Amino acid sequence: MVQEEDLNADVIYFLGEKLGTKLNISPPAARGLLKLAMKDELGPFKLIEEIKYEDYKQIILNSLSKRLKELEIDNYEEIIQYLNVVLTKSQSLITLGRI
Amino acid sequence: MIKIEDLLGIFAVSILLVFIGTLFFLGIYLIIRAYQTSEYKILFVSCASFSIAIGFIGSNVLSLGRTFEEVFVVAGFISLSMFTFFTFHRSRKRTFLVLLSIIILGILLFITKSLFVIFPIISIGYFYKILDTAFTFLVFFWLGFSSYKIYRSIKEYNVQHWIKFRYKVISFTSFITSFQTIPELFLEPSITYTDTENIIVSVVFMITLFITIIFSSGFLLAWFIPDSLKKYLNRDYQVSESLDMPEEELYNLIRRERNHPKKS
Repeated sequence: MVQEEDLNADVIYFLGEKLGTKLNISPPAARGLLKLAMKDELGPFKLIEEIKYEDYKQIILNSLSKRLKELEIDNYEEIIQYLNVVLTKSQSLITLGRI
Repeated sequence: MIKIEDLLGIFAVSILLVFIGTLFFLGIYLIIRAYQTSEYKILFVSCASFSIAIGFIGSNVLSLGRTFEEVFVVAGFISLSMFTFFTFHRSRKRTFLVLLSIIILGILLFITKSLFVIFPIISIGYFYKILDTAFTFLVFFWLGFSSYKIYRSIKEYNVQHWIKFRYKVISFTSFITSFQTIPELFLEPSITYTDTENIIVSVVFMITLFITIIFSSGFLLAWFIPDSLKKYLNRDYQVSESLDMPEEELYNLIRRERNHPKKS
């Protein structure tokens, strides 16, 4: 187990909590999955504080969706839709956490 | 012997100067932060600060008239609503109607104010006051409500405490400011704040002044949180854990957790 080094990771934390509940897995595992999806979409060198709302949206719709499919999650489309709504509703966390 | 009215006047001018100074400071600070963080949405708040400050300077210092003030204050409030829309509601089509209503109300407000300046008819004056109240209420209540809604949804989660604090300050300040023009409904349209012998004018003036102080200090605190205060607010904050492990290991763990979920 490692700790989040970046204090700007509140959006990942929040999405991870929601994803964990939906998948019935622990939040740290859900956040690990999200981080893998982020690396797929943005590469390993993008800093968390540089990630924008549009990037998070693409991560959820593309890479995370692909990974949930690989994990053979039956209702993955529904979960992706749900996370997309969560992101849209909590998008202010990105701006308010950065200024 | 200094009269009460003179003291009140000096006090009002001092508050106005602090208010304008605060808005300019906030505007410049947010331009710098927008550049540093690439969060360009915050420029809407910066524009709002400059626009409102210019409006007040034009009207109260340069005597360019109330219509001048109206144009800049309305533009500032619309800019603030753009911030509300793009920060809290982007990709949500229904909320665009709220933004559109604010823009339409703002345009109507400007037209009504201009009409009242040309034709100082009391009914136009009251119509302007009602529009002004609705416009101010909508702009600030929308911001306050949007911020409060998110605060409610994150308050039980382990989000950094200073961010929760920012949401709370924005909500509180905006809710109070949304009522700013309501006391002015009790004044006749032709009466100005210079009529200090009228007790109703003095009371309305003091209430408006109080709300203005809350608005400027609240917005300054919301956006300019010093690092020392951030650290203090975060004193009990525990950083959340995440699993950084090879893909296969994480997949196996997720499969195991899904097959044997922990009872909560």
